[in-house]
Amino acid sequence: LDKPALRDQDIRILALFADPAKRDQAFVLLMRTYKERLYWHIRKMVIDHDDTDDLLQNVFIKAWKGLAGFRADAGLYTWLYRIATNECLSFLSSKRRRMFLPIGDISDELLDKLAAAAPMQGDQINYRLQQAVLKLPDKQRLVFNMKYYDDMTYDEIAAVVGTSVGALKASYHHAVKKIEADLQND
Amino acid sequence: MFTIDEHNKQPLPYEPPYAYFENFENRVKARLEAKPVFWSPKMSWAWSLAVLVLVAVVVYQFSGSTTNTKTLSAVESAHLVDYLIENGDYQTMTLALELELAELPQASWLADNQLEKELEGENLEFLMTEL
Repeated sequence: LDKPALRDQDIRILALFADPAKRDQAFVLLMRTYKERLYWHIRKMVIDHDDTDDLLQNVFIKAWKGLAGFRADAGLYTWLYRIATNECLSFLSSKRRRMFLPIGDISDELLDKLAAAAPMQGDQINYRLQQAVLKLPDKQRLVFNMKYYDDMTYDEIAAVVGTSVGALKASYHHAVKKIEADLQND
Repeated sequence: MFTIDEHNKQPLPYEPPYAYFENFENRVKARLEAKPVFWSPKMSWAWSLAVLVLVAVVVYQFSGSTTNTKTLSAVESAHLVDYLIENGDYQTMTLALELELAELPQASWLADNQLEKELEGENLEFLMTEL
């Protein structure tokens, strides 16, 4: 679905949810519409499939519990991305706490997960690009993923992460420079 | 040199497992309908707290019941028996010998059994310090 079609779908989902007899139907439609997009959004942040599956289910469970209080001004798309983003960032910081790692230092763990998820691709440029992306700080990586892989506009990213467009542009620019420098060093 | 080109994007190097998205909705609904799990990482703090409270209660109970009881090790009991055999009167000696023969090294019952009566005024604490 493209973005205007997604907005129409959001309206349909919310209309179904407004009818107590059709809430289940609305929830199924919500999951069908967003499961793949959110899967990739989460997967790019945590890399491991099982972690992604767990977090994705959490996102929909939270969405189900919060849908009654959802204010339509933000758009379901943005709201779900925000829940998924918070899940990812909380997951990564709890992982750091469990492993007694410094704030920015979880890239080794993610690189190991990448090697496990995508073996035998060490020479490919998309694999090397991922390795470079995984060395970025979480929030810079998040912005890079949403801009580069998800084709989101800066306004859409700003609505999800709650940062100004200017700050996002700077963040993306730094991320690109770091990635290119990392790949050049090889 | 590699440059980030948004018009010629690189694909991701990994995929979800085959047919992962099939029945995803049912798995989430099943999780929503599942009964609460009593042991999960998220619940572990509650169980840790419950265990801590239980341990505190047990310790409190035992500390109350052991304040008047001295539990002796096997070596201490043997010394006590030896002391009684050497220094006690006939009845005490007899009892001490019985104790020795009965191989009852633990003397936690000393405080509430007849040995205390047999000593008749002998200061048990004094005996203990003699050991």
